[in-house]
Amino acid sequence: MRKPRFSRIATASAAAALCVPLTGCITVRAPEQPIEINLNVDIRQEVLVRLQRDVEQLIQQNPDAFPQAPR
Amino acid sequence: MMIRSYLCGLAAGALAVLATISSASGAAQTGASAMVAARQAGQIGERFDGYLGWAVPPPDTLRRQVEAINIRRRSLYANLAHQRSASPQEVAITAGCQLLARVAVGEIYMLNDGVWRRRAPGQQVPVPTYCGQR
Repeated sequence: MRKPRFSRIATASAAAALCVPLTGCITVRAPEQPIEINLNVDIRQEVLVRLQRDVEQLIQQNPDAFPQAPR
Repeated sequence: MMIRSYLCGLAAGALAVLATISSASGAAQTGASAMVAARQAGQIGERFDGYLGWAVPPPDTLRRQVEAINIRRRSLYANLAHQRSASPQEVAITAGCQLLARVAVGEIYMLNDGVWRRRAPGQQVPVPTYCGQR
């Protein structure tokens, strides 16, 4: 049996009304515990060597993330 | 009398605005140098895992700066890891090796035994063995 048209409209608008306050509450937050220290170092020597040069460039090109006193 | 006090108010307002502008630019300048100063004072230091840390929790402002830098580093590591088909941790550990190698005398650092040490004058930074010969 089909619902009367008015009832469908009422349901839809009620759903919309419920959604509005919900979407208004979504906040984006940085993770609370950003970086945990993991003492287990699991890296292969060849991987380290392969990444060496790229990492060096990364450090040089991002002084904001890797602040260093002038030598 | 009314006009004079109005003018005084204007002048005070202008001064306040100037003071705000100069202190804001001052804060922007001190951001990076404050980090360097905090490192030299041994408040914060490099960790073997490629991130900054502290032996004793620093004041809130500094702590937030360090956390922001670490979040930035994590995204840089993740990007490079993606490009080079490695894991973010592998990139971070590789960075840790290079960052430990440039720890200056008087700065603190943490190796993978989890202990914070301060580099003494004349002492080489003991880079972990897994970092290999450089």
